[in-house]
Amino acid sequence: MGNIVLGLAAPHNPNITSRPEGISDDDRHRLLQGFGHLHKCLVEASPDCLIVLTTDHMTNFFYHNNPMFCLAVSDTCTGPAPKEIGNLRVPKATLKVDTKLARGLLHYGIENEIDFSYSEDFILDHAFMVPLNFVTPHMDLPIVPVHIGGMLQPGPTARRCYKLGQHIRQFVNDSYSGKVAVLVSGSIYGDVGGPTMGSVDTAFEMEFLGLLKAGNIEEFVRRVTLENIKKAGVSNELLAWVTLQGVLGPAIPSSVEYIWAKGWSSGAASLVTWKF
Amino acid sequence: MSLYQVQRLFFDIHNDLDLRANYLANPESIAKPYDLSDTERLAILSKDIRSLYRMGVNPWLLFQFSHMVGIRNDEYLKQIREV
Repeated sequence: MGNIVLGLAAPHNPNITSRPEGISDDDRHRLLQGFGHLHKCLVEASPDCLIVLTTDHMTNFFYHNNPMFCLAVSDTCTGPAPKEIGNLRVPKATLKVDTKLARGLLHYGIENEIDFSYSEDFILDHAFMVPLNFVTPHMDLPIVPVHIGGMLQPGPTARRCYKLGQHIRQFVNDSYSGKVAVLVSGSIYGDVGGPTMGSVDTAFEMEFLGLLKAGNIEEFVRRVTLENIKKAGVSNELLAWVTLQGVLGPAIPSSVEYIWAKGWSSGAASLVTWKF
Repeated sequence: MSLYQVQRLFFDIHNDLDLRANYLANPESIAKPYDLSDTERLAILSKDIRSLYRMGVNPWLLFQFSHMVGIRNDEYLKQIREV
């Protein structure tokens, strides 16, 4: 019935929008070109909705109530969060949620042993709003926000995240009629607040990007061990990447752009497309 | 002693801008209702990033706190790297 028509990966470093002057003109140009390409691919694919996979940054969830996975199921979601709207330089926007997909996926998950948490009041923080600002600048494409727990430990396993992604794919194929694009927001390596903040383990990132480029998804998921999750840094957005691989199925990227701008305190930017 | 209470204070002032402004104006008063040990309270009020990091505060959250209370990135990194 439904189809996954496009996969995207993009960064959400708040400096991208709040302090673009903090990086070199060349890096900024490459970054904008990279986002421009993602936007172009999204327009060409013309999906009915965009699933956004990322980790909430202590906006909606904290240790008092921390789901491994959460779906936003309300008719709309608004962002950025109040805490960041003054600095992020992304205009406040209210986006429609594709509730047919979101609520359908919720029920499908319950019936298939993925116990999603769900929210009728989900705030879109910079992890959502920074990439959306570029890939869907009019904020008029219905989205399905999916929180993949990563920032708070313990979080889900890579195996579980991959299975979740597969379930999403199965649901789209079996029970949704329409074209679906999927975006993962975040870095493979990101140590905001950690001791290596301000530098990037490029070898680590190249290792995982290399596996993606080769289409070696089984090995990609296998290597997301507890040890490597720790090595990936505090932000732990790697699990959202694993989830995307489950959604996309075996695939080789159509394009990969990697930018590490030394003016940033967090992570490098990996901008990737998978066209189907 | 409760790491959760330390982190809960940071989470609350991170998300609630009014509470944050009140905290910055009068940190002792805002921290008072939180169930903190003397050691924890002192570390928070004296902006002792090193001690807070050693206690196990989530580093991302600790970094947000350090920003809120005016600690520069280089000083933050110096303190956590000394642990």
